[in-house]
Amino acid sequence: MKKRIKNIITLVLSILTLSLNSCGLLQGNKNKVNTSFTVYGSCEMCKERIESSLDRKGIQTAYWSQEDQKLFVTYNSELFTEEQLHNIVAMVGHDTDKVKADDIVYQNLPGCCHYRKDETKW
Amino acid sequence: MVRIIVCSGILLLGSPLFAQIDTLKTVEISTEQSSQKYDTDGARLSTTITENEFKKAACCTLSESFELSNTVEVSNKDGISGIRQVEMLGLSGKYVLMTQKNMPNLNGIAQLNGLSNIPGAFVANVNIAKGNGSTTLGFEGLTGGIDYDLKSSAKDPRLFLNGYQNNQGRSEVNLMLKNEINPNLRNFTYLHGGTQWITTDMNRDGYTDMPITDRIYLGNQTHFQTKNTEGMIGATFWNDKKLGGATNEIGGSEITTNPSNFLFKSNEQRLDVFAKLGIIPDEGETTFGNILNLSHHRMNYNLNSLLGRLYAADEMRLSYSGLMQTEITEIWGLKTGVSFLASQLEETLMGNRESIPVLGQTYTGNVNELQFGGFAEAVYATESLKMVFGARVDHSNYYGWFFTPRTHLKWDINRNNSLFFQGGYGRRQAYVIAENIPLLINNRILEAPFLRENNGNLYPYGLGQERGWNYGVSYLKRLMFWGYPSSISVDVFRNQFDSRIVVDQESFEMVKFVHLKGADAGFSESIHTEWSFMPAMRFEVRLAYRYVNNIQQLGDRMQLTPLLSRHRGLATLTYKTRNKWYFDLVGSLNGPKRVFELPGVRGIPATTNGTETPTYALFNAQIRKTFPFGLELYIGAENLGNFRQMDPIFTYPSGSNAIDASYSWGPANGRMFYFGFRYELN
Repeated sequence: MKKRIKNIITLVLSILTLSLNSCGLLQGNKNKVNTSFTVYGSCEMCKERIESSLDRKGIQTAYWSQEDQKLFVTYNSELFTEEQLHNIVAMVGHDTDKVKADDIVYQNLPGCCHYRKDETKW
Repeated sequence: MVRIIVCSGILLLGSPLFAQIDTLKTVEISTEQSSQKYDTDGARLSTTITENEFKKAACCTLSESFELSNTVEVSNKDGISGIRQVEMLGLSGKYVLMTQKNMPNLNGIAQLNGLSNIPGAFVANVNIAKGNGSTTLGFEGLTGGIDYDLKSSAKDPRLFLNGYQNNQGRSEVNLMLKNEINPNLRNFTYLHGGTQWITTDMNRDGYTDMPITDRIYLGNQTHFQTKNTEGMIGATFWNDKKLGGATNEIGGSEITTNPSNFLFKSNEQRLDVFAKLGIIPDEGETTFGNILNLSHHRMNYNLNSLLGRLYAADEMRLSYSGLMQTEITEIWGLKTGVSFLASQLEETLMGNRESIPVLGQTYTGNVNELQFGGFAEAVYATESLKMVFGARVDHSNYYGWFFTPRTHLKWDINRNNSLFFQGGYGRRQAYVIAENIPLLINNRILEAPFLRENNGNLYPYGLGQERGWNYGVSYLKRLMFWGYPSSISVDVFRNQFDSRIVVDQESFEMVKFVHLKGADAGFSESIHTEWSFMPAMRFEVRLAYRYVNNIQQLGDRMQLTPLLSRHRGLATLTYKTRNKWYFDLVGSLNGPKRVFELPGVRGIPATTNGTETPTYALFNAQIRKTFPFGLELYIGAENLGNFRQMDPIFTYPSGSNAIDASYSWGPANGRMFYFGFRYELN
């Protein structure tokens, strides 16, 4: 019986490890860079939009915290520069501390995502 | 094999685990990415399970949805009825306070089967909290609270339709309609039908794994809002019919003396009418809340056709509670109020084998309760500290005046670490027959004070109130892990009973209802740990472990509750693709359970105390696809390993014409496949 439990635990652990390995997460990567910068947004929908805009090859993690108005990214510096990340986020309508989003794109965001406090006319 | 474990260990530890933590010390990490989130607004740590989490357990009722939860467990206490009972902190669900949007619900005799009759598809979220709750909700709920909420917000779709079918002959249909009369007035209609229409016997013991079932659920709620008021009014009705037993006799004769013709039958109905009104005056910091609840519950059971053991109950309950909430200063608040309950229960239990037949074999009795009480709760809240001191005084026509104090404390040490302490007293009226129905599906001799003395008792059933202290500590840590927020929680709880009613099944021919007092009543200790993290984008993992130790006087010694796993582990893996395919895998590992004495028959030697069931693992998997036009399709499998308990029902040797369904500790039905759809029209 004990052996069976051991086998089950081993199986679960190996599946987990293998699946993590296949995601390329456990291998060390020399070009991997962690960064964080300010991105403005106002709701859950914004979070979804910001994070999925960065959901592409060469970006391992992208997490946006609404409370802190901050984006945390882990990316491969051979494929991206930090400026490019700013541009990607601004392209979908969210201002960063370096790049301002296009007004037309911003106007077309759903109501809950109008985070620019000073421009109340929208 | 050792090498594999070591390697996986190194891989897990050697990876850039905590690489980002240092840079993130000043940042609050929320765990909102998960479909199960921690709720720390109150003064105790609670978990909210959202609709997304329920989708992983596609079938069908609220009690079945908890199969993914580490806190609430679901178990079958007998091999026939298919009744699923919830357990929390190693104790039965009867110690849990069940509410719908903080309104009393599923109380009284509905505690056993109530959650199994709430369709999971209508549930918007469930909040689970360990330890006793606020005194504003009553003196019950020793071990925790389960609060559920049906889909009833402005965001919900105009029409919601869900269909489910599995390969073991279970079909379910759910329909919800929203009617938005104006922005301040909304009406919701809920219609549910569920049926199990094939007799399955996957462990080939000659008895149904799941009874043939017919269930309907009808509900309607109206929510309204004016300038100074906010409220709802609604009603629900459900009817549940079950037929189980020997597979060759389903639909056959009801009176039989041959165990191979054994039959179990049940019919249960409940009607709930409720109203809630909140008043928010224009000026001042004071608000008022009113809750009115009326329910009628009827039960009709044929527990054992061999004995003619029939049970019938009819219950009416009327309750009101009024709450006033006010802010005294910036940091001090006060909640006070009154509550009232009138309940009337009529019960009959027939066909009992009694060891000393004094007053015949039928019990007929009433529990007519009249309760009223008042409560006050002081709330102290600053940025990092929240304290709640509550107390209530109640009067019951059976027990006189009694006092119930409770305290909760939350300390946010810093933005990513929170510590919770709580302690308090809890008590409840036990409805000993209704809540122990699964333990009466057998030919055991019943021994209980209510049978010996029948109606001459001072207290209901000749037993007292169940009472005890509950205290615990919880710790929640949030951290950044592999670039994503992660959370770790640890809960340690202890329940110390002063008075407790247990059902003793230790000797195989007896089932005894015993009222334990003082040290004999024992205690229950538990430790829950949970770790959730995201190893990659759109990939969530949750690992959980729990330990319980529930000790009381059973037989001739203090020992562990039978058929309860001391150790249990749970792993949940969820992966989502960019184009909305979802993959879920859930695995649970259940440790050994203690078995009570089994008679030596059919060539099997008698087992003595100390025998344990094997450890077993259960795996569920599901694939789900969401389409942009409101349609979602899902397909899945439960119990992938096809694990079955082969002997949940015990037949005595031929000639004695007796049966015992009390030895159920694992699933009777094996691997199961299902598919279904959800459609939303906005």
